[in-house]
Amino acid sequence: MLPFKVERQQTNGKVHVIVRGELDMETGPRAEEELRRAEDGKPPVLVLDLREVTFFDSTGLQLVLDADVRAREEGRTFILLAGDGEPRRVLELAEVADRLNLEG
Amino acid sequence: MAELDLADTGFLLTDPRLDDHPIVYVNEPFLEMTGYPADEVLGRNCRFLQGEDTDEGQIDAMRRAVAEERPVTVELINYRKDGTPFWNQVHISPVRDAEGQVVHFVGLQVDVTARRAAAVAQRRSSFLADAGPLLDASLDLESTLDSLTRLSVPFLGDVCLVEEIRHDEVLRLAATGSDRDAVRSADAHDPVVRAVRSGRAEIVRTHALLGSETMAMIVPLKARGTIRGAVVFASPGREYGPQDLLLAEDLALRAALAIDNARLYENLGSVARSLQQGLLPQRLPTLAGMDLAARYRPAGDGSLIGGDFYDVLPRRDGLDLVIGDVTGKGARAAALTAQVRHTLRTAAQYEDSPSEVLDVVNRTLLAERGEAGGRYCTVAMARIELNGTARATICCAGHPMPFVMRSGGDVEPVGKPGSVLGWVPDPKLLDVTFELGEQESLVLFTDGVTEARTTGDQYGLAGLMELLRAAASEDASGIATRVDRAAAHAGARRDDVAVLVARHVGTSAG
Repeated sequence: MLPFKVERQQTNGKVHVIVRGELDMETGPRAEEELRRAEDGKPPVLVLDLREVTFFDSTGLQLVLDADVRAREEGRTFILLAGDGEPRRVLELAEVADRLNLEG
Repeated sequence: MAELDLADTGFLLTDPRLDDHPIVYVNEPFLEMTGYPADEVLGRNCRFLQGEDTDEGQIDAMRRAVAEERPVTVELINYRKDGTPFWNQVHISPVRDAEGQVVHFVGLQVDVTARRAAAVAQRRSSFLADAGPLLDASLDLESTLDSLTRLSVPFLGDVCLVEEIRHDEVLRLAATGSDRDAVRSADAHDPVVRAVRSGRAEIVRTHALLGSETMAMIVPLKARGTIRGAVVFASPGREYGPQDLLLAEDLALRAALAIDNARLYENLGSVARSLQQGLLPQRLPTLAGMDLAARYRPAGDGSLIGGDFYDVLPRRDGLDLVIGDVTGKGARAAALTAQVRHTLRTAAQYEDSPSEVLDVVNRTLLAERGEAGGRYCTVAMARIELNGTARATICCAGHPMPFVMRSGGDVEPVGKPGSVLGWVPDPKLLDVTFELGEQESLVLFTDGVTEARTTGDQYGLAGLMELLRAAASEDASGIATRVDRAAAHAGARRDDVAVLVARHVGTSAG
């Protein structure tokens, strides 16, 4: 099992928050904290990379939707790399995929 | 000797050729270490340093080495002139003359009391450091007790028991190295009863615990001011000292808290379960023409309030069926569930279609949005109008589409995908109307039912459809039970499982 890990990378104006492993109730707050830190830097573009997330449920959905709402409120482009695993399945089921900036 | 740094090292020479193998030379550090003046030492055999707690085995090892004229190193307790003990590391070597004859033994002595204390402290602290996380790893009472007894053996004894007094019996809650199921009466002289009543840890010799007389440490388990039981460490043949008891008390302190936490958590689990039950209908209404059933299975050990809910709302000419899933778990999810359910019930009374009801829920959730983030919810809602026939209108908001079990055995999803509630002001919410024939069933469920876990669970939507096809002749309760069981068999789930089944039994059956 991939251990949970969240990291932040910055490349010319874009901030990437990369989450790996199981994004659940326990790990969700850590991912959220990292996202908020990334937002504090007021980047024009924030990319949330979930391609290596192996478990994704309503905690992850909440995380994504909150980040999207904040991005709209603060005038930031929020890009989601959903991969083709659990995150995409849950986001599609919740019927939010087509209104998010989904890449990858 | 000049080149040897003997500042802290006692040095002595003995002469084995003289009667009783006496000391013939000692240096100043030896006298300082032992507290004797030179004239009380010279001419005597070294054994005057030994005393009550000196290990016989170590003395033997020295004796044998001297008899066999070979070097030896031992560590043993010696006593100063004033009677205080110290740990002495003694190295003895024979000294031979030109003919190979042993003419002296040289003895080097180092006071290692401080080093040994440090080593013991080190072992103790590393033991306790290891024990902490093991004890805290689980909030399950059984596994906490299991960790306690297993990690104590053999470090603190060959046997570790956790016992508790209930009414007039001493119950054994856990045991490693002994019988787990032993029960005895709570006699006032019983060492465990005594320790629990007095609150004091003791070293005792007792028959009561292992059947034969054994030395044992009995330490009360005290947490949050209450003593419920005691932990016992025992080893046939082992002698316990004050240091062992201190360590046992340290461990017991941690264990007691871990056990108490596990108990507290078990209680919270039942609180959560009753709170969750309060968020679900006590029982489903009875409606002419409709056969209704629901099952709910909380995720994991059930100690966390999940976000799934369902509801059945009777109407003048039919009924509304609702199933949903709010984000999050615990108290926050419970509060949100209560709010969504209430909003749904209210809106259902005056709104004309499921999509309009869900739009009200969406606006309510958006209005509640706070700094900490939004409140989101997925819902599938079906309104069934009964008028001889059963005409159903369904709307899905970010929720798996319900299935209809057709009378011919077909199983098909109904509804159109719509978006999760609480996110955007203009969610995609589409009503779809269809006929529910007699002996046909509508099956609403939450994501937990088909949860495709990374653990290799292949059940999924296809599995659910197959299961429903096989259940074509079942009543609502039979269908709901099948779905619930399949979810349970598919493995431990992290998500709740809820299923609501409505079967149109028609006027003839109603």
